[in-house]
Amino acid sequence: MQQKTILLVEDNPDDVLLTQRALKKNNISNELVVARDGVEALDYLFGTGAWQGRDLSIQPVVILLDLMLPRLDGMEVLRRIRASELTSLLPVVILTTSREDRDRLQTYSLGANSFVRKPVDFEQFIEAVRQLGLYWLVLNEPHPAPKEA
Amino acid sequence: MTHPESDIKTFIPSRTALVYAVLAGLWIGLSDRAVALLVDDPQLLIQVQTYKGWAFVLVTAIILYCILRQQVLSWEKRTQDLIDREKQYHFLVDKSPLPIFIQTGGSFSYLNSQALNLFRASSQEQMLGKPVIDHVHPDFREKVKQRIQSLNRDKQEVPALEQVFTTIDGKNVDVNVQAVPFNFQGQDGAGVFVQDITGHKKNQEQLRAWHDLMQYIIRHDPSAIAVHDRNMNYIYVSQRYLDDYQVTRDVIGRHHYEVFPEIPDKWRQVHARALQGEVISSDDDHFIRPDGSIDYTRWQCRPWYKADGSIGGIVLYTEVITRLKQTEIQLRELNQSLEQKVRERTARLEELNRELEAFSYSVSHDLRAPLRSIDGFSQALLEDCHDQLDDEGKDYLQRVRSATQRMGHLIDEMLKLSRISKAELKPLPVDLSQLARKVCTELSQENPDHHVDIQIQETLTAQADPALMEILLENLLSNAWKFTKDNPDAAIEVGQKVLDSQEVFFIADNGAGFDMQYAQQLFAPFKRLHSADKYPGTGIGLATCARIVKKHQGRIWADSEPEKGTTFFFTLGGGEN
Repeated sequence: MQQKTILLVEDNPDDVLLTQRALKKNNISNELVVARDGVEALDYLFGTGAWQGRDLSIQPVVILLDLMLPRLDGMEVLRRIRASELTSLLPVVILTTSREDRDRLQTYSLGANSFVRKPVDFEQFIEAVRQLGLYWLVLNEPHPAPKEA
Repeated sequence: MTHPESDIKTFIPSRTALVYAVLAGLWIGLSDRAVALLVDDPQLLIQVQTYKGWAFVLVTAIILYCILRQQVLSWEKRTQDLIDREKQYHFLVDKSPLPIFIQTGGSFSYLNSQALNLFRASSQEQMLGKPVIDHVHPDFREKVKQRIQSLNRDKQEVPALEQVFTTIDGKNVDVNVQAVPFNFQGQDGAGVFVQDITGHKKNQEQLRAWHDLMQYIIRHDPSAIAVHDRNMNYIYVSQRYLDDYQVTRDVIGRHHYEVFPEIPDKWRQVHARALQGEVISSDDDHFIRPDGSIDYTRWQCRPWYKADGSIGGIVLYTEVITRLKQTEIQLRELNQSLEQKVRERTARLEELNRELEAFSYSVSHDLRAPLRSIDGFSQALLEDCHDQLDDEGKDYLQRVRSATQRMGHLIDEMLKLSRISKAELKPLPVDLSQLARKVCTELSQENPDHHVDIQIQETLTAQADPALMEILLENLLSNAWKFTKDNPDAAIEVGQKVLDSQEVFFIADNGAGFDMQYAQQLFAPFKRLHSADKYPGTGIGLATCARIVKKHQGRIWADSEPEKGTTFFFTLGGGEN
């Protein structure tokens, strides 16, 4: 059985820690790969840079993507994910502090699957993570593996 | 008297007498001899001689009678003819429409009826024998005396003279007088022919007055006007014209091109065309003054017509519009600079807006992240270090968390408020009754412990932005909900009524109410009339409502009394803008 990895793209270490805590609180024990910026995220997904030589057949079951990121921002990461055949079908959940209309509109147009705003109240955040985990890791049926040519 | 007549007069009587003397002498001599030869008897001879003498006398008497009779008849006829002719001439002279009189020795000898009329005399007797000079205006007496002298003494005709006669009642009459030397009834004098020119004079004066009036009107006309004759000589000109074109000399009678030698060809052509009957005008022209400066002008050039319909010359109406033109140019420049300024300001505003947007973005993003950390790790502390914390410590951490959450809520509300101000209005027909019901249902679900009696009037509709209307009702109704929480018989009414002939929506509750002296602060952001302990809130809800209503060109106000309840009223102006 394939490992159900979660890719968290988040530059704020506090948020990483809190997300990890929220996952743990919800008994979600999937492997969590953390990318600290857009470039790292793409390195992981395409097996470049620090992730050179990674088995690319293993891709995250869901990507939690922040928008405000150093180097390459979330919007651009999303664009690249959707542009590549390898990653175009991966579920991407925008997990961000912003609730700006233009951000929502833009990310949805770029093909984001979900847009979740990180609440200030940690209990609400745990609840959000619980629901996300339940949905993407349990309820949602992932896309079928692309057939080998 | 003609020559043949005078010949006859001297010739016939003398010859007749001579012929008679010769013939009678011959007869007497020859007949006496013949009788003496025929009659020898002396007695008989004497007798015959006597008879012959008687016969001679008889014959000559008959001849004399015949001749004299004929002569007398012819004289008689001639005299009658003369009388008739004199009567005719007299009639003609007397009935002449012109006043005619005769003076002899400087006094009136005859006046025809028109002359009597002229002097306002009713009969000849009033005038005859009076010196002519008495009826000549003093201004002309010297002159007239000389004329009488040359007429009477030198028998010289005098040229016509315009002068003034005085009537017997002292009135002056303008006359034109002609006179010829004339011997009347054996006295030297003159026939005087008079023309009453009072009417003519009056006409002339009238004409003069019209001319002066015209000159006056044109001279003082506030626009620049010049009137020329056919030869382009000035007839009339307005002072404004002289001022505008800097003419200091008098131009009347002078040629236009002599006054303005530098006048351009294009205008000379315009004058020529106007003299042919064309009316030409221009609203925007210019000319170069001798000093090289440019002046702008607006003009019209039209012909004027004489009584017989022929073109008498041209009229030039002109206006120097340099100042107007300069103002226009300045105005255009001003407009341009104004537009430039508007563009700059707009750009600056847009930049500020962008900055503001970036600011609110960073507020929403960057300010919330630390809050989340504070809240998250406080919670982690409470959970993970539960045993190491006493109740006080736990209480402090709880306070940290609730403060954090309140701040997060505040940030959210602030952002919402700024979004409403920025939002573009999309007015649609909105069913406010339905919207109010929906909001009330949500509020009931959120606050199951608080029972409220809700009355919502049907068919409340408005032309407004649906999303903003929902926020408005949410804020007002949740307020009503919040402030009635201590009333076991809480009631909220949503409806519409006419106040001061204006349709007004209202939301009335029987909640805590407030003192109207603080009503001013009600709609200002972050202003609260109740303590956060009793009625929690951010103080942004009503500010948001006010912005929404303002965006719809409406008005919002409240009426309240502590412990009785509050009614919020609002109008919606349509929201087209």
